[in-house]
Amino acid sequence: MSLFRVTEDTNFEGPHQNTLVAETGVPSSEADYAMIMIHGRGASAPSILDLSSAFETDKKITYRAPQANGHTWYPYSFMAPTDRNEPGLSSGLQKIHDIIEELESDGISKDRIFLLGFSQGACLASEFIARHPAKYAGLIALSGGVIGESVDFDQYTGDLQKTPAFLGCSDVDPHIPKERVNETEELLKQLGADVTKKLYPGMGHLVNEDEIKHINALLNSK
Amino acid sequence: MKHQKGIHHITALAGDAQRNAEFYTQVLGMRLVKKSVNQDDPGTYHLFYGNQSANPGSSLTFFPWPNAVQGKAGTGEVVNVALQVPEGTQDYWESRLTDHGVDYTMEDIFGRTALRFSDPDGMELDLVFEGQAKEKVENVDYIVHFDKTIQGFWGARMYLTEREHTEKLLNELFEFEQVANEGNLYLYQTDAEIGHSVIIEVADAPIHGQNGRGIVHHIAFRTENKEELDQLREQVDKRGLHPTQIIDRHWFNSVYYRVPAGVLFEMASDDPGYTVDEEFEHLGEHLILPPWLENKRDRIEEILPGIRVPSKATS
Repeated sequence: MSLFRVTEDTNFEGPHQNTLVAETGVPSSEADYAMIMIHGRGASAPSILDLSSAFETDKKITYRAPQANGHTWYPYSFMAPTDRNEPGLSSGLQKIHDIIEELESDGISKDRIFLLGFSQGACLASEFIARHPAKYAGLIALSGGVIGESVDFDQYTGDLQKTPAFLGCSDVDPHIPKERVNETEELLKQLGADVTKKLYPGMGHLVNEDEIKHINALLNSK
Repeated sequence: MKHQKGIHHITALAGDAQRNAEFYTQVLGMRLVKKSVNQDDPGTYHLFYGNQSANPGSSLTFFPWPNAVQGKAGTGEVVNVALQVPEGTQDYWESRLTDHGVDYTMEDIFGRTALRFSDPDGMELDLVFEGQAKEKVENVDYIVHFDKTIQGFWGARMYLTEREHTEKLLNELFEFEQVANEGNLYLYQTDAEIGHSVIIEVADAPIHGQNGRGIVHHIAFRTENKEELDQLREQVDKRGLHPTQIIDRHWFNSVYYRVPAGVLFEMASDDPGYTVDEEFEHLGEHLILPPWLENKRDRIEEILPGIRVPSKATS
């Protein structure tokens, strides 16, 4: 079974197609960069946008955050067989694709678009980028990894063209086994990303100061 | 007295709650008749504005959602909300809009004069000059003098690629009759004093909109009570439109279904109304939660952004 990939002709209709998108930062017409921020299970788009207030950069960035229907992108663990997490999973991938398309139509190309996610949102962001490789401004996956019962490396093809990717997670996260973070690193490297991975000993399921430093470094390296 | 059919309420998406409240109360002079939460997303508001009597047929309600992107209207939607103001108040309203920095254009709507402008989230509104002012309601604030104030809905315009089927529904379920046609615009009316008009604008081709602030979420039509709602629900079901069960919305009972042309329709009962949980004179003053959310009040109040609506006009 091959992986679902969003193309120009797939208009996947699912639970997240009609939900709202939140925005903050500068309007896209004035932005040099965009960041799509994907919230975790039980959270909301406005709440993940708040994270942007911790960023320190002079870059003009427009931030977009899609809202998951019912506050969850898919019902089961990201380690469950993927078909159990349908149609939420494909619907979420389509949603990210559509926001990227919208930003591109506003003149912001993929290599100026960051994807950031926390928890379930980090899983969705990493899975999206692995299934749709291109040169992006960067991936920031906080406490998450690629989705599926196991990682089938042969299923993923394409070139991330040195897209910088930051993976941050606890080594004892109750939801995210560190093995999966390691496999995510391996997969993204196989696809040509420039990966930085940090496993924080004993950390909870949260975003820490060091991760914010890494995000700032990534934003300011452009 | 025969029950009057027509629009019960219209619900739209907004951005910032405070900005939305200021515009509808301070600029347009509507009464905030209920401050509650979105029952499907209790961390966000549901704000109801109406005429001073809080009648069915006057409620324009909003789900404000912080930072919502601006929507783009498309086909299969309600794209214009028209409010009825008394004849002869045009000069007053032109000055009022100008004073508040609201740009408007003058329009002709099937022979009636209207002012057209957008709310802060980009939703298109008309003020239609028709009919007389209602009697003054005692013990209620008027931001706009009672003989000039918004009386309720004049109507709504739907932008559709399909007309016949929707027309049939409007007619057979809600007693709207076609009364006029100009080009691709068709006017349907009932005999109600407010909320009596629906315009279907026929589109040449489908236009894909984008959900966001300024977009109408649904349009609700009046039923006298729960019994009639139940009868109408059966009729809708017979037509294969998959209506929801009757949902207790606390101030009214509701049934929802999407019509083939794309618009989300609701049917709502006139009873029990907004005074079921607040005294008429004090409608909208406090955050009202439906009983099943009352035990979460502390958490909900913590999450909601504060909004302040002065009861008296600031201008």
